[in-house]
Amino acid sequence: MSRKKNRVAFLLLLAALLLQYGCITSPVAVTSSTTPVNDKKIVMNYGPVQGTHRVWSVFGLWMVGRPDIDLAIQDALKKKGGDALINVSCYQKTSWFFFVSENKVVVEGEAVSFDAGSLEKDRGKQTIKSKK
Amino acid sequence: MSSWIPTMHRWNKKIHGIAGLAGNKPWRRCIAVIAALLCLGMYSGCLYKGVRVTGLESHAKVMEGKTYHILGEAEGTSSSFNLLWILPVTPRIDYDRAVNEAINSLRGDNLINVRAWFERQVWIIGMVEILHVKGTVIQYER
Repeated sequence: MSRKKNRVAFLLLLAALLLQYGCITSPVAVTSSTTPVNDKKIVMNYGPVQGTHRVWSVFGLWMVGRPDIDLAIQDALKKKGGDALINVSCYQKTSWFFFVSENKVVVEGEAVSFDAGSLEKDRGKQTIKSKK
Repeated sequence: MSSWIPTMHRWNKKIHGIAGLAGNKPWRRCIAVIAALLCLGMYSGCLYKGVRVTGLESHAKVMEGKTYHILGEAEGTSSSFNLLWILPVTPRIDYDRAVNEAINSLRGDNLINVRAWFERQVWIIGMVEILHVKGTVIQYER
């Protein structure tokens, strides 16, 4: 009898878990690149990469921190290297569990490296300005 | 003194509010903790706080030149307040205003590597919406 009770309780708990779980994905942006590439020469394409950054919400009401797109880009670039992403798409995923929800920003694109000369030129410009 | 002890035992076994829910059963303790956390959250006055990523762009305005100086990272915001969550009492959030604030903070011409996110805070008296725009401010070479 007690085994039957336990089984019913387990099934109820499983049903509750399934009912409490939810997920939604919303598109954020599509862009050609994360940084202007007009004056830069792409020397290497590392292929598609994906980066994420996630934060948690208490009861789905109070978010602790914020989903940071910068960290997601850095995460993507860390995987294969590169200076920037091209053909970028970005979306946000929210999943609800019992008492918490997960907010995740996902960045997808192709990691590329620029010609070192154009990057140095950029850095040089920055130095010139900061000296003033 | 000995007559007090059974009375205290009986009193301890009674359920008194949320604290009383935390009895021997673990699920009761769990409910009590959740209720206490919810009360604590609501007590601060903040009913909801959430952030949504809204944009990722290589540049905020049309690039007018190919050569530029990088002035540095800057962030601009634009916010609005709705009294009782629905009555707007300030101008609506404006993407242009946030971009211009970021550019003007470093006296530049354009913003590149643009990231934008939208923050919403629901309080007891109203709702605050804040649009953040962050990026690298540039100045074209003339």
